[in-house]
Amino acid sequence: MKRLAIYAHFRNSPAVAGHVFFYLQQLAELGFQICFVSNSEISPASETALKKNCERVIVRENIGLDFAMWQRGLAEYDWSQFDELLLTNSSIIGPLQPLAPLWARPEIAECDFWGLTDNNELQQHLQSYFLVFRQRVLHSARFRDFWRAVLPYKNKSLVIFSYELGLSNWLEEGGFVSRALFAQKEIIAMYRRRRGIWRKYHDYYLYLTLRGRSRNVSVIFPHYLLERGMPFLKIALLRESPSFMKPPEAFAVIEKSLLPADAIAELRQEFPLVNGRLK
Amino acid sequence: MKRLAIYAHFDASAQVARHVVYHLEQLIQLGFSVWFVSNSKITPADQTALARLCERVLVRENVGLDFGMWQHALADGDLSSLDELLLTNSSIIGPLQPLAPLWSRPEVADCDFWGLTDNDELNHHLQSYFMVFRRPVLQSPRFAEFWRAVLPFRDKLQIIRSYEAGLTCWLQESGFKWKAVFPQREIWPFF
Repeated sequence: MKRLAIYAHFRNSPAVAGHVFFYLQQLAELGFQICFVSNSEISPASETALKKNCERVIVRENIGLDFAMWQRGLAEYDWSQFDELLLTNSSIIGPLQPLAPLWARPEIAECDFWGLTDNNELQQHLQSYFLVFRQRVLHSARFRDFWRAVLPYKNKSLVIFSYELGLSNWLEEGGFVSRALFAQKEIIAMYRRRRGIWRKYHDYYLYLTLRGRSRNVSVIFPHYLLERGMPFLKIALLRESPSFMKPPEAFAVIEKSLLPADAIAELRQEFPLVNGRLK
Repeated sequence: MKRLAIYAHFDASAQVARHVVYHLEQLIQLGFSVWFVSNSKITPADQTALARLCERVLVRENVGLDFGMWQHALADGDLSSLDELLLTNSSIIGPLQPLAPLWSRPEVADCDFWGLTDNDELNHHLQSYFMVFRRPVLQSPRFAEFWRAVLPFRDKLQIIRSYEAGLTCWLQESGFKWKAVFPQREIWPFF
């Protein structure tokens, strides 16, 4: 089984974060060949360290966000040589629990491409921070057509509308079947089932503040996702986010995870809490 | 002044309505060469009648909606020889009042492309039923690049998100200025 992973990276500083190195190492252990593409500058020391697990390290101009990075990485390869492609990015922290069991889960047995979470804002689609494409998609002309048609927009919402939504839509219109391992529908059902009526009443304020993003379960309900075996937390949870998980709780989860101590210490430094609250 | 209009036509019963022909005639009077593209199986008789008015008549498979039609027509076009390109479609009835005065309105004096109405849903963008592109846009490789990157989605909302909102955003990010003759915020002051 030949596997290719393309990791789309962005950070405000040229040092690559410890949790990123950990993630790449975990992917390498799963047998992935890794192409690391960054829209931000990378220090020489980080580049050397990246080359331990990544066969290619590409630094490019900061346009087009993750989709333009994946497009850039994909251009380096003959896709027909691979059985599986993983597209992922630096908006997540992990793996907090082992990755390998994901591939054995029954939810994704019968599909052509899969991801961790889906979202039905605007339209049902897989969220693009972790996407796995199997042979039937990877070797199709339709998949190639999609990547040929990715433009490097600077505007983030256009990248989401056109490409995050567009990719799921384009492949599904082509007859390919997708699955989300942690389906939004089920996560929202967990909330409805478990949360008492009074708590729901108190949630109403949170619900109002969330409205626009109210269905993004990867940010709102990380605790339910973790319980179901989700191996990542969105980095946004270490900042103030409209979520049921506040930064102190997110750090508590990370402390108990697979993540190495130095990577955790670095995250604590980058996202400092004062008196248990965000600085 | 070399002007080309590409008219994207669709009719569920594959008819070419009289108001469509009227619209084409008015464009021709303004000096436009007209290319008529249809995603409906219009009859050979209608095609012959249209060919008397239009420089080209293209009938194609019903995919990609208006952006698919414009893309199809533009693939054979030489944009660099044009002074002005109008993209329009059969979602409108008219002209109900003369078209020519639009071109001399102060709102569109100082821009690279313009349309009639804009919309701030999704991204703030020009609505695509009537869009006029001027030379700086037509000569730019960014414009051609956009048209090479149009995929024939069946989903209408995806076409709107990717291409109606996308085209304005892409050209704006390329440094082009755009205007709506009837801006939303003036029509509906509560935005």
